[in-house]
Amino acid sequence: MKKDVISNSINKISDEYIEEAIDELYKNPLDNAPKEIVNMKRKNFYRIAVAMAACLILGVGTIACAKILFNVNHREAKPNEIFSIEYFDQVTGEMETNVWEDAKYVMTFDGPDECNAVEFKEHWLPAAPNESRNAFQTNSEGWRTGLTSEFSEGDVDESMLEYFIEVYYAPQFKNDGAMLILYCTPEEITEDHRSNYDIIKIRGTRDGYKGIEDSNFYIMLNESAGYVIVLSGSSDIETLEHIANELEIRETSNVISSKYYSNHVVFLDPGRG
Amino acid sequence: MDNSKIIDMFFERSEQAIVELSQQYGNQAKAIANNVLNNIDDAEECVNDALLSLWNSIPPMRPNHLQAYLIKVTKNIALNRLDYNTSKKRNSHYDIALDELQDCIPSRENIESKIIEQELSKAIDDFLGTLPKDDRVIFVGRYWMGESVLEIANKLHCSQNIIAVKLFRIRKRLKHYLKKERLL
Repeated sequence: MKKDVISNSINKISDEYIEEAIDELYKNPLDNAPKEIVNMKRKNFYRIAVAMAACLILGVGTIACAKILFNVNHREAKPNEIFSIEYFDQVTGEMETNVWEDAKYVMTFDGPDECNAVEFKEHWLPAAPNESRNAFQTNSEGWRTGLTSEFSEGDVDESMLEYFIEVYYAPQFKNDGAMLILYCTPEEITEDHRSNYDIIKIRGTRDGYKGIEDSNFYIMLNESAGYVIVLSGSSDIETLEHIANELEIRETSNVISSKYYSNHVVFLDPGRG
Repeated sequence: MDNSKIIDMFFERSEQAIVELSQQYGNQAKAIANNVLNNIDDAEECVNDALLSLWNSIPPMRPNHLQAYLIKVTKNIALNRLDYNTSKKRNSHYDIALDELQDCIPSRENIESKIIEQELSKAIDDFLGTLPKDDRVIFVGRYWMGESVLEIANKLHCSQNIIAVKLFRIRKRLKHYLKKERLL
């Protein structure tokens, strides 16, 4: 069909649909102001206390409160357990499916359908980040959505995969979603709780992929705010913990919703994929 | 300011109506004209032309969706300008003369095209009514506003892949719908 016929036909769609789209796509384009600064060490303790008190006052009770929290269940993958994602292949122009049957470790989550996006600033790193990695956004004030020391091209050695910092959200794991470790074998898993974070520390080994023997994960779950920050890489757990302790984290007004995710499975192994 | 108040100002022939309308929706209209023309100066001129057009048409017209009306008029002006800018025929005086005649003696092909356009337009509108709001916003953003996949992804705070996947599925559904309506 001729382009101008299509163009003219599309042009005549109802005003209400145009207005609806304008409202959604052009609402407060500059509204990225922070809603609340979260201090890792102290502030969220008060938030949880206030939230719990509010629930008690309202007579809802702590059980109802717990339902909306972001909870993690972590376990070894079952034999032949299958995980898959669908993605749009830019080359073929078709939907493709990737299937994995060899996950080593699985984390599944319960949590709210929506939560606020978070950003962070790092105040200590063991090595300079790779600022050119464009998968992550950094605003003019230095607030980031992710960070890595990984270099995307050329020779890769262990020093270049020292750390990844990524943020995931509860809504992302709706509909049987999961966070997987595929290539690293977890050797030691410990749980911890610090201020408002449930911490999972995973010490793992890899089969010498690109000369890397160790692959570690320091996973921080904020159950009340609905997000999880994953620090991973070849750095040891103590180094990852040091980075985590020096992160300044804030919630933004941007709402993350489960409806924006077509895939609900993510992979944590740095340097792969 | 409320849209109905702006329209009232148009009816009172107060030039403040233009100022209010421009302040409220001018940037959105400019962005969409710029999507068509890829030239911000031309886009700005289109918005000014559209504001003048609204000044001339209100009254007697009283649009139900003032924002959409302004943006629609702006986009049409932008499309005409794009057509004008890119049309090689415009180099010939004779072709310009023929264009004038074409308005009153449409070819058979043009008549068929118009009929197809009308049917297709209604079918697309009906199809949009069957979509969930989120999908409809993405479709209108991409194919009516001319936003890029990246721009839509940024505005909806999700990845490009998600938008690309959704658009792929919507196009598939549209094709199926048009086949069912015997338009394909």
